[in-house]
Amino acid sequence: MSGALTWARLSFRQQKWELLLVVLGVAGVTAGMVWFANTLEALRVTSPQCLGGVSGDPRMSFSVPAACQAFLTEYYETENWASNLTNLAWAAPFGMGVILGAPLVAREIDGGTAQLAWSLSRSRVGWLLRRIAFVTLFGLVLLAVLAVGSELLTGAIFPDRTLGEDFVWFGRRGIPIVARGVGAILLGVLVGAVVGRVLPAVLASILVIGVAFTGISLALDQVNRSEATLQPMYAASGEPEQFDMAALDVAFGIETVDGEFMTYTDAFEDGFTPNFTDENGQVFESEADLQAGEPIGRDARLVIAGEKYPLLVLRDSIVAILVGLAALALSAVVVIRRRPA
Amino acid sequence: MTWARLAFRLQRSSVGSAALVSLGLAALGAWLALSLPSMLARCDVPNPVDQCGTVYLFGSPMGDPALLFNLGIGVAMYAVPIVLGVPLVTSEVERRTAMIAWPLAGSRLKWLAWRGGSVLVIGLVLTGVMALAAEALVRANVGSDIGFASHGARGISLLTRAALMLVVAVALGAVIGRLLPSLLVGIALAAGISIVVQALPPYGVEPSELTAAEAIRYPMTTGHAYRAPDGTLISEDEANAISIAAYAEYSPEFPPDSILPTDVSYGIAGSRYHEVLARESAVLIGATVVAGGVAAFVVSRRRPE
Repeated sequence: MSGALTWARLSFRQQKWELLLVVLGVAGVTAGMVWFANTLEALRVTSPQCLGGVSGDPRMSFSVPAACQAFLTEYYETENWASNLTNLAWAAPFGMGVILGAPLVAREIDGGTAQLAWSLSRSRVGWLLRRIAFVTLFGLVLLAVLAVGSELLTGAIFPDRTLGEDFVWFGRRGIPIVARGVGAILLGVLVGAVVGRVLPAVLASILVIGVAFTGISLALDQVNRSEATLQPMYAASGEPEQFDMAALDVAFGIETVDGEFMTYTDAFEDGFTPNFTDENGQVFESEADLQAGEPIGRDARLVIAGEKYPLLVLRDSIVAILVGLAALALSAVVVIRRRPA
Repeated sequence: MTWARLAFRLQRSSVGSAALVSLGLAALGAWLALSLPSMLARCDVPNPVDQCGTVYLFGSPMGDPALLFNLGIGVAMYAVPIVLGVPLVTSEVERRTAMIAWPLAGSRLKWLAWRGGSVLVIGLVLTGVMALAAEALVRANVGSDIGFASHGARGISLLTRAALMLVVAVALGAVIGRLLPSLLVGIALAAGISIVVQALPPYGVEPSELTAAEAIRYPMTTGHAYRAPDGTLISEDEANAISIAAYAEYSPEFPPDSILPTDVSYGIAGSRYHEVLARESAVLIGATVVAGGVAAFVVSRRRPE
């Protein structure tokens, strides 16, 4: 136990300023989230009549009483500022990977202390694990605080929705923030171990973490697409379908008359020009086709139902953690084989 | 030349990264600026080619690359100076080479002038190339009379912001003396500088009521009001009341424009852009000199380790 504490103290001393600045940042953002959540709740209690019974953004409705205009402007400005904080929660794991992960091993190699540390340690892998454990856990605890704050704020902005079965702000709240933190921090460690110098490692980790998570996101999009269901925007009768707000939108496009789905981009690339849409959501290639009533399909979207939210959170989190573990294994290989200087 | 070589060797990774980002963005901007006229010409016909659908789908005649370029410019104009400026002193202090370099240079200010000057020149060349590409792209998109379009993210206005950020980053590195904390504080300062330079204009240039022609030629709008049909200026609430009454009277038809209130915009016309740009450049260059003075003061007084 005292050994672990010694390593924790050593890690803290080596990255004291970064850790303190990150703690300050997380504390500030979390305090902001709690403040905005309380403010929105208080505003709703103050004027429930201004927010009740109006669908969508009430400012767009001519039926909004003049007395409510000022209140609604204040409410939605507050909500807008609040939603920006969840963007910070989305970016935080990647930032932690760059700021905390990349310098962990790079600093030891850059400063020439790795040579001594590796010769004193019985195993380099053991050294690596002890060296990164404290900062990684510290970073993950901070991300967990942000994840809870973001979930709380999302609940305050969407009080009528069941967030456990709703894809609203997927990835900007809850467990995925922490799971991505595992992946990003350990990817940062890998880059630091490979590059061996602090500033180049920090700069390279921005690129590597960005590319890795963009790739993961694109790959998961493909998986989502294979699991999504087709939802026409209009029923066969021409009535608009009830828009499922809780679902995850995978793609928007056209359900062709053959029953196939194609996105608008795919349609243009395949030579279709779906520029004309009638009031029932039917899509036509030309004005002549519109007049003749010969559509190529109808507006539709690919969705994953809100009930699958916990499953996708679990799957995305497992993928991020596996990426992190793979990066850790590679870091161990690099540390074992690397010359200290 | 020796100092420039030394600056590059000591900051190879930061100069390399800055060059990669700046020249990459400049190349993308130049390609867009050169291909835009032909792209627009192909699409501005009765039956445009298929690709035009994709081009217009993104809400911009240029689509995704232009949006990415603007986003990249917005980040790079602060990120490149931070990456170049922060390590200048911090790397010497952290690696303890300051203890050797400063006495060898004869004077710390001379050391700062040569090392900082080399990095400043490198930074200005890199951001200058970006600024030129951004200016060319705006001109290709908007035409020759660009007024305040993309002000701050092109041409001289981009360059002065980048120069200020670079010198502030050098001063910050000198004050903190450690790389990563300086980078983090530098990012926060960049956000602050970005907000302040957006709030400062029009630098005392007197706004006037914009004519209809001026209002669409990229002016800097500073205020807004409403004018009643009889020509008097009225508040927003009064304008809303007149509009509601007019729509109620003519419903379900639309009321004639002559009985509705009209919008009035105040600001600086695009033709007076250079007045604002000259004052802004003077303010930002002044701030850069002050930041340079702070950096010199700190370097001359701080302990080398």
